[in-house]
Amino acid sequence: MLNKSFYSFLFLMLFTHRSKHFSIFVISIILVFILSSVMFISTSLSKDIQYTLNSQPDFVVQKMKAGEVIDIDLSLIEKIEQIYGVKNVTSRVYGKYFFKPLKQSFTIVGVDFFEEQNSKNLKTLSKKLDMSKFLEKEYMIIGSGVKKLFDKFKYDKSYFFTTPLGESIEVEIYDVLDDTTSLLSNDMIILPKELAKIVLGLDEFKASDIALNVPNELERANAKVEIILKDDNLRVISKDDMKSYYLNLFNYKTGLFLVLYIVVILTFLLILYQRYSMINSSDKKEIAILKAVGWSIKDILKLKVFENFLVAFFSFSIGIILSFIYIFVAKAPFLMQIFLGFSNLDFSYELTPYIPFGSIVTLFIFYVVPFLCVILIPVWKIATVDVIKSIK
Amino acid sequence: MIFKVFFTIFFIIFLGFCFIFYFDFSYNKEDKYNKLNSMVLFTNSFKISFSNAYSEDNSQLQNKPYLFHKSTNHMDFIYVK
Amino acid sequence: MIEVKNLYKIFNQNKKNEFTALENVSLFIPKEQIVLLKGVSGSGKSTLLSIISSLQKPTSGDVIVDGEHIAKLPDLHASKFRNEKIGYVFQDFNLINSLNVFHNVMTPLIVQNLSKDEIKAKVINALSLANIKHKKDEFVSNLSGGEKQRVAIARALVCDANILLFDEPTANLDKQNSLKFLSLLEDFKKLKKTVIIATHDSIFEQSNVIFETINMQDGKIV
Repeated sequence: MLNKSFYSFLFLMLFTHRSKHFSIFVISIILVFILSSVMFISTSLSKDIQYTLNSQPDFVVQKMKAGEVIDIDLSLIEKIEQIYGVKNVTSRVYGKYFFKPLKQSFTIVGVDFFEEQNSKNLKTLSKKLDMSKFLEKEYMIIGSGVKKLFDKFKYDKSYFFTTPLGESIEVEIYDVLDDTTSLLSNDMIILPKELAKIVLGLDEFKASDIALNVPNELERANAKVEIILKDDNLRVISKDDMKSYYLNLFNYKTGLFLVLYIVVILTFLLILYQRYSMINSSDKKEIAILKAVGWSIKDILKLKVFENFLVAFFSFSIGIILSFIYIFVAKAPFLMQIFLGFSNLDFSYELTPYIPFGSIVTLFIFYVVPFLCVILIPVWKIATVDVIKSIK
Repeated sequence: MIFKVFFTIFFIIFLGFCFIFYFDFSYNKEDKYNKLNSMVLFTNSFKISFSNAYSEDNSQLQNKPYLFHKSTNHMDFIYVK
Repeated sequence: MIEVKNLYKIFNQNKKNEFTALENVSLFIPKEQIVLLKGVSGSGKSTLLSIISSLQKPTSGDVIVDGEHIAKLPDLHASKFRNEKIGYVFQDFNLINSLNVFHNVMTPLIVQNLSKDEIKAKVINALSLANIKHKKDEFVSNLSGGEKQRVAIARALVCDANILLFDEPTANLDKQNSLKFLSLLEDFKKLKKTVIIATHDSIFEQSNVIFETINMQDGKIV
């Protein structure tokens, strides 16, 4: 019975009952919007993190004292380099710098600008880089969030750092990192390593921690043990620890929303079922009338299924489109905070658009199928058992 | 008239999906990942500037999932005076 | 022709509120004749009509319409039978209020695989026969009782059904419209329709096209 006149009648009935369908339509859009926003943001963030986490050093070695991380001795680097399979052992200098006017902290990272690899990476990050000019003096490169704050307090060209020893050091801003990397660089100030040590109050022969790579996966476990044995109170953090942390974080957040989904969808389905089983509904009479003029149960079910499928499909599509625009064009103003936590500074990061087709199809199935089932049961009941009752 | 209404809705949805696919296609993902990777290699660390980030300089290595949290560090206290 | 053999209809069988609507009803209605089913409310007339139109299934007994045993037909066949062979006009007309006259009359034709033009032609024809063509774009909720009945009649005629069933056709009409309905009976006779009218209105005694009057009381033929 899938002829043209059936479709005309279908659209006619859908249009005639538009006010009845409207509330369901709006609620569906909101539901799908929330669920798909969560889906988009979590897949996008985890993809971004997944792709960049691999560049992170395999191991980080820290010195502990009374349960706290303290500065590590640079002499340890030589000892670690002797371990078989270990490569690229470098010291890292970083820490937080307190910005008094706003009582917020910046992250200071010390980088050896003279290293060749670093200059290559810097060229990717900074468009207006003139290496010779850059290396003449001690400049800093700041993130976009830092720039916004500096502008607010009129630190246009340079900033005066106060060291723990009470000294004041002026450092000129060379460049600002754009929003593309603001997930990482938003509150960052990148200084030459030695200068960073002075600003953070680190000793000349100390560093915040030591980073290294162990390219061969099979040697990693051994390397970890050998590193720990090099000195007292050393802690070794692996890249895998970080990976599992972020995985857990997103799974936890997604899990929370999954629970929310179940609760909300069940309530919604209950409301739908209630609506369709209402005793005085003119819907009931309509079904009975169609039965009386010769529509079979199959025909009536087809009509109702298609009618509600269209409502579900329209609301689902519009929900997905709106959530995509919210997350990737409007940059997810509120949801970002829920996923990543409170941000130190004013934040503006463009999430990488990623369309998880599998998840969308799954969401569609888990949304539309219960929706239609919940509609079909009362309709079938009316068309079979209650026809005569409804007609009177 | 009814057909016009539904055709408009279908068309809007169609345009919406076209926009989504176009946006996804035209977004320069490679450039972005290159920049992010360069950032990590440059600073030799992976630091997300949010409180839910994994903090290597924390004394505890537990996973800390929370919805809202303002991050502070013991070094802040040095400058309060 | 319509033949009913030993029909029983018991509601809520084997329960506390068991009710026998029809008890051993047997009758024969010849082709192209207009038959009256007379009886007070609750005598089982509506139940009998709904069983003949296969809207309900009897508890026991048989109904043969034009050689077809319809009492125990599965839903698909029963619906097809009802769509093609029966035109049912209810006491309160049972029209879809949210649709206009044309769409209401069109509803039985949707399940037949007809083209849009064929449907349009049939609907216009039925509307003309029922003398309500001038109101085809009017919404049913805006019509008077008599007009609504004519729409219901048009809907019953649209599939070229040979059997027309009327359940208390004059109950919701005034005297003038009731007389108009009586004159319609002559048109049905001309169209060679088999008509069964369930009523307790005495106005039908004035008509001279009634072939037979069957009296019912408490679910039995008397």
